[in-house]
Amino acid sequence: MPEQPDRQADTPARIERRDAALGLFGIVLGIAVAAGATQFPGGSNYDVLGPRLMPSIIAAGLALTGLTILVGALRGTGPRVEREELALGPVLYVVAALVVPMLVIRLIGWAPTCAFIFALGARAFASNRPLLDLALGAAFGGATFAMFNYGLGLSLPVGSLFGG
Amino acid sequence: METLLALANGFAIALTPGNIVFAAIGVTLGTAVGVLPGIGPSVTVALLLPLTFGLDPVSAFIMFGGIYYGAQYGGSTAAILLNTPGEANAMMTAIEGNAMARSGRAGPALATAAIGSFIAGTVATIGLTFAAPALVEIALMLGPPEFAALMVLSLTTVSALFGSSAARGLFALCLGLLLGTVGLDPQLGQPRFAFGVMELLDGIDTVVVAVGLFAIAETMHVAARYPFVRESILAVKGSIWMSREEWSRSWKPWIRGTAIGFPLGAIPAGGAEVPTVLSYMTEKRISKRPEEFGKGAIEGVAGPEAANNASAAGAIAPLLALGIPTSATAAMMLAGFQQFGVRPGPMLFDTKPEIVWSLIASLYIGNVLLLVLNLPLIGMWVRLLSIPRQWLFGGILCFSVLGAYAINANVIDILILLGVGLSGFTMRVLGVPVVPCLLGLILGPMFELQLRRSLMLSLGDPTVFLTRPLSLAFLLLAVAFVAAPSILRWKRARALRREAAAP
Repeated sequence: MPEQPDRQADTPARIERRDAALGLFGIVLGIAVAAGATQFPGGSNYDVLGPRLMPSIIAAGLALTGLTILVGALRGTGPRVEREELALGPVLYVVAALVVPMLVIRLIGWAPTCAFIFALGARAFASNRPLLDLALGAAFGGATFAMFNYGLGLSLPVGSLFGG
Repeated sequence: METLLALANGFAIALTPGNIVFAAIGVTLGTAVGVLPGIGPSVTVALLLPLTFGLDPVSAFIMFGGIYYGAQYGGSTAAILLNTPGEANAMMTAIEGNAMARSGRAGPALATAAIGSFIAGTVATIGLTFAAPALVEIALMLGPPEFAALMVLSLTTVSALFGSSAARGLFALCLGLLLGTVGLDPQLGQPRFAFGVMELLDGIDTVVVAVGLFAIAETMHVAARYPFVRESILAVKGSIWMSREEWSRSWKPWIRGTAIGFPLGAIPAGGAEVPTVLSYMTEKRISKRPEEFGKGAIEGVAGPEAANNASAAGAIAPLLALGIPTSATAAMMLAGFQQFGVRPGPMLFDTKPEIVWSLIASLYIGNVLLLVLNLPLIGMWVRLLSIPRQWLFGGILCFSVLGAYAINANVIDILILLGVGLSGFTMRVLGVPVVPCLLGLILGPMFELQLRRSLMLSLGDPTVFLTRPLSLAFLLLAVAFVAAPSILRWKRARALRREAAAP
């Protein structure tokens, strides 16, 4: 199934909207961090602001840089960031390659999980040989399992399904 | 004198058979992973860090040293043979090296890069041997306010000089600093931004963030571009040896590059891009054949490669003596140290000199190993470059998840990996540089500690940073560096407007 890439070239107005959103995000995040900081106890004994010090500085930094970016975007004086065509389907496969292990690694252990990660990752790059990819992934998983568990003394999971 | 004694001691440790093997493994693995497209030296160190967990610190750091240098070499090989350089500091090499490769002179390009890297690396490591203790002397003179101000200088210059705009770089820095506050506050143990999630109380793991920001985000980015871009790998045709003319054109740029790269790398400010760009521009200006630049001028590979390696070696000085990394790769080395509970800084030279000096000794060894192992193995590296992307990134994803999970056997780390990866990808798309974020995460806690200590020292008076002369100097420099590009731009725009308005 061919992907439908976003062929629309980004026009300048669209670019600035993205940058404006980024700037706005910075400002909002700064406010949120500042709000969070007020929850922490203040400092004592000249430890000015204590646990609040760093978050306050960060909040100011986020808001200031966000504002600079926003103003740059609205005035059109921001930097010309090169806009590329991006297909989002492949990215979803990469996301899947990370979500699946979260769900199954404790259950089926490392080597089978690795098979899935490998196959999903390969699919993100338009691989059309899923069985081969699964096999390669399992092999890679097995090899790294041996290397880490027996060679390096760390312990990768065997999987509760297999009695680990 | 005692420096040489300490170094000799370091060699004694580094030259044991076991440690030589570790250095060789580090160099080979570093090159192999560094060669892979899209994987720059810092990602290489990040991905290979988990492999060192089971080792003892001295051997682990020797392997790090090998990986550090090997990854630089792998990155330049990829830059020459592929049209996509792995990291910013390989970009100059990519311009001329790739042009040389396209005209069938890939061999000489690789050779000049390798030999230049060896010379620059060795000279710079000698420089490092003396610069590190010197920086330690300076570090001992710095109190918390000076240290905090120096960190402001380092962090802001590296962030502001990266990427398309200072504001974005500083924004990324703040994001990193924010991530660094997650967990328990360093002085009072107050939980911050943990949202009641127990695993977050220990803070967010640096390796997970690094792998997420670099490897995962890069994988997503390449995947998103894959339907549109076709990379071409250039074959290494002809001889890999350089002709006499190429030698004579290379040796001065090697020296110049080293001279430019080492000092800039050794100061705890600026980034890895500055020395290479500076070297390139110098070579172009001095060259008797400037029209060749852009089409494959060997000076444009020799100089920047030497500068790159000299700067990487130099960066180890502030890393070891002050604990301040000035590049993503150095930051990953710091993260590696932290994993082993080793805190770089003046104390380290006193309490654990064997770690410091065996690392430095292994850098000399690593350099030699690189030259000896890598030029002949060029064929193997080229084959690595030709791995089908499907399998390459499949493997990278597997290794990333492996590394993230292996740290604490925690599924949450994989979730963080995903979240950070997606954020890194978004940042890439929006032109926000990723390196300052990592630096903020790694250095944030220490910075905060120094800040609060300074305030306690001054009995709560915030002007302490301005009244102490060295601290004030650092802060002014920081402001100057950050503001300079914008001021220059503003002045130029004003001059242009005046010209346009004049009759």
